[in-house]
Amino acid sequence: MNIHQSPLRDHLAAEYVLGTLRGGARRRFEQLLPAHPSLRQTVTDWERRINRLATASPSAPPPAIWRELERRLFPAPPRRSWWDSLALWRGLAITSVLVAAIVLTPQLATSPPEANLPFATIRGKQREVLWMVTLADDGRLHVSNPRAMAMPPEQRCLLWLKTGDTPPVMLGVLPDDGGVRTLAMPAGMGQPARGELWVTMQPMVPNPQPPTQPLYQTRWQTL
Amino acid sequence: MASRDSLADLLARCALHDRRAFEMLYQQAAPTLYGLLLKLTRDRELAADLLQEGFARVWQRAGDYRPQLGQPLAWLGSIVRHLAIDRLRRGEQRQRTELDDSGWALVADDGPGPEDRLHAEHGDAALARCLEMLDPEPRRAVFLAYYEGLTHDLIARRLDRPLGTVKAWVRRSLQRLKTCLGET
Repeated sequence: MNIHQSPLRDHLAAEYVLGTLRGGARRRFEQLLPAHPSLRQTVTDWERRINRLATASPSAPPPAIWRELERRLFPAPPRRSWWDSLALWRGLAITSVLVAAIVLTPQLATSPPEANLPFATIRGKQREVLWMVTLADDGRLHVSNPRAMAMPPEQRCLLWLKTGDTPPVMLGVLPDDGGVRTLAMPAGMGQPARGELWVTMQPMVPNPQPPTQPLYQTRWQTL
Repeated sequence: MASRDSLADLLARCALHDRRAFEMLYQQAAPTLYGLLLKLTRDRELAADLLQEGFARVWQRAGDYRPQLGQPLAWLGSIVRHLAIDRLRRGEQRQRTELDDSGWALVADDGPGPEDRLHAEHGDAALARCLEMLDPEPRRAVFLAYYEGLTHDLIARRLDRPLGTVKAWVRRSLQRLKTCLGET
């Protein structure tokens, strides 16, 4: 197929988006996409047009769908009583650790590294704090970015967990607007408070490849 | 209907794993997407299942949304549409072995399609006007491709028209839609 011929290109892109380009022709068309930015643009233009068909009159979905979706995506219970409150126990934990630090300083030095309240500080080249990461007891990460950062266009900072010799696992997109975010830990991550935290800066793409080098890195600490 | 900015903003926050934004996105978009899935599948249970699947995918891929891809609701609609077509196609594979040509004639006689009233009822007035300008049969061919994921060949069987005619209809209809919708 002579893909440089414009009407043909436009037509193939349209049928590709509509779904009527099938079989070998579809596969050949998809193979051309990575190397031809203008062809990708033609496809994007058709997606914008044809996706307009995807509208309908609203109909209330059964409430069970949202409950099931929440259970599936966020396994931690969303509601807690005061007795289960993270803030309460975190406050008590900080107090007791501080008391212990004053009274029992030698013993603290020998406490295991998995002790309470793992946190990490990611610092820039001038040792300035870029992000603070704390691990909540429900396994989620609270990330704060103390000062908004000037990012290059289309770039985001990603947080990765690097343990042992395995490739780092992406934890999420870091805030760069001076705000706070909660990131979900991927299921089955075991002991997240071990290993190193890596930060990379890269364009937003689906399923980014694990980096081999971090832009910044840090280790977990405990109070 | 939700404004474009707020849905786009919610999608951006979902990309940052903001659960509250995800819940708000669900509240705003789920009724329209569920309506679309009901029309695509004509099956409440399957529509509910696909809605859940679709939102799980949106949570994972919210960062893929780009304004160049169109309105957020249309983008979300295209996600659940792909899921629905995949699922229906799997069902169709099973049916296809059971149906001969006379069986397909029965399938074809399905009365008004799920899509016939969509655009007059809701939303995109410019699109509705452009669709109105197409002749009924070519328009139906485009709808069968889009909403049911049918190939040229299956559309020809469904409408009982020659394959070459159907191909020409689809091709001409797409070009007429492009011209009518213009470049905004």
